[in-house]
Amino acid sequence: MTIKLGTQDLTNEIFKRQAEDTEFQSRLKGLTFNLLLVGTDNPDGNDWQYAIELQKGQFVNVGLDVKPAPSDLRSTSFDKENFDAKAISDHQTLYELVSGKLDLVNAITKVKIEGDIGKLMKQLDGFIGFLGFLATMDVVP
Amino acid sequence: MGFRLFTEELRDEIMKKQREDPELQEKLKGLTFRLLLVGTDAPGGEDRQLAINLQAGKFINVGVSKDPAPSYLRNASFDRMKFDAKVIGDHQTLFDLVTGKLDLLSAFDKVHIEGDTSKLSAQLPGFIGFIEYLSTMNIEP
Repeated sequence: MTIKLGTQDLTNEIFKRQAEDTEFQSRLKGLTFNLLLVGTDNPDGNDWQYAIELQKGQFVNVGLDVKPAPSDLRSTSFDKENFDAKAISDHQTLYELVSGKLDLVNAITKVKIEGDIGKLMKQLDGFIGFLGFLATMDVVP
Repeated sequence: MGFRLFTEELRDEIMKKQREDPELQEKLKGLTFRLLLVGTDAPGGEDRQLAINLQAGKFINVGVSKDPAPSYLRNASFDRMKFDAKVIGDHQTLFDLVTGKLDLLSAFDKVHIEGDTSKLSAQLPGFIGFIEYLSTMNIEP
């Protein structure tokens, strides 16, 4: 079954895997980060935003917001009380990143990141592991 | 006494620490990468290059070259049989990076990278650890 990036389907699949898949649980181990992830200009002409709350290696909540592009989701300002960082990039770049077609070094140069970059860097190992797991899922644009 | 960036004196100090300091040995653990690292427009009007051969967490060899700026060292082409990647950035950016004034994510926007970025991505957490270690040393421009 394919899963579209920037939809509730991906969120549901992640929560399902988190509950059932020990490899997935192992990849997330120790990650504590609240991230706003914004993909702009998806194939349906929308921007989307995942509001990801990851605590002690578990997805606690993942909110999804979808708005017609160009939307206010791509604004770099965000609620720093509730989120550590906001990452914004075009949908295609994020798709290539999570499907393993684009490596992290090349993706970083195409993603705008605001917020606590130090905290993000300290947990990069975990995020790389998580991205590696996503690449094994059948994510489509 | 400070160690000037991209010079024999810094190279020799790192080699010494590699033999003597378990913390550095731990940070380097698992890293295997052959990297050309070029800092342009260093003090004294020169470009400087490190030719780093890191195997299984140990610096095997680190060659140091310098040439009056602008030099051939900033040419992006390199021998891909001998090195995995070449990173070229202005000396001040690289100095800010190794002294902890600039984080790695921000630095990626300011440097030019050629080569096997997938291999570099996979080992990024290790490089971050090494850069953190460098920031504890007394490095001068």
